[in-house]
Amino acid sequence: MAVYSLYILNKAGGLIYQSDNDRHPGVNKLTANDYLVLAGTLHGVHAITSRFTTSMIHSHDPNTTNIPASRLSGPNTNKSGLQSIETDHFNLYVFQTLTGIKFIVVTSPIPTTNLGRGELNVQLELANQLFKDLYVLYSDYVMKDPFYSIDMPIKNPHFDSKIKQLIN
Amino acid sequence: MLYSFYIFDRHCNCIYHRRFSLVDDGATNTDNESDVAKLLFGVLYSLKNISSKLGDQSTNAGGFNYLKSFSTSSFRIHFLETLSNLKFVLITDNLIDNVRSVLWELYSTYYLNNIALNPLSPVDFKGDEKITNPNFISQTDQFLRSLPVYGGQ
Repeated sequence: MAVYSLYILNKAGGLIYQSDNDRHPGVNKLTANDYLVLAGTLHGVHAITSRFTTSMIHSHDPNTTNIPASRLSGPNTNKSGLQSIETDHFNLYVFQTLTGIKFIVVTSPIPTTNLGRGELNVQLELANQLFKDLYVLYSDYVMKDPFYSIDMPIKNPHFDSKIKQLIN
Repeated sequence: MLYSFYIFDRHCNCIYHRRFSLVDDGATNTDNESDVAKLLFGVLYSLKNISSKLGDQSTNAGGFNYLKSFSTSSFRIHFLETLSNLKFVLITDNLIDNVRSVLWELYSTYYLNNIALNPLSPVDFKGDEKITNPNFISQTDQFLRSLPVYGGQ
């Protein structure tokens, strides 16, 4: 799973950090404005899909919940909103922290031939591992930076270089 | 496990909705005008835009980038759009990875034979017209119920 891009959104859906993988571009370069639109759209779609959950599966089988126990623990508070998108050329994963910050990574797709039952969930677990590492970096290099003001764009060279190491 | 099946036409209307249920017979065409159907269409439209914008469209990458599916922690939504802008949508639990062939079968066999090639069926579904063709409904039901993904095994 190669990481193509990373976006960080503040709790209002604004793009506060963006990093692209230089070695595997994988996705199109957009204009700065289009990236803001992209972030806002994903934020909105996440909010809408979190309203779906009960109505989509209601009265089907009220006794089962389909959320695996492994996904109920951990720092990801993204329990009902958009978690992943699969397209022909990339996959996209969303992680939301307790404070509403969203981490979004765009990765290489899984070849269709490898798709069996549950393969996408294996990829989701991999992505969640990556999110944990990203969250640690964010806490260490952004939250502990005394000059950082919350919800503002992240311009920290140490954070930048650590992120590059992680995703390249 | 299969939860429901939607068809949207090129005018953004939900022309067919079938909800499946393990405890009763489910429902047909009851929620076409509901908020959920409209929100679902909006989400699919936005995500389709994102995937075509962000996806590398160069020929060596394989041409146009299609949205295949997206998921939340409790369900996965599978998507297929035909050249005539009909959108076929299946909602399943998120253990099911790929039902593209099923969506294609629903379009190419059942929709084409019963709706598109049927001279008595309208070319365009206007206003609140829906697919009520009993052959289409019973055949797609039978087909979907016969699939391994239906019961989730």
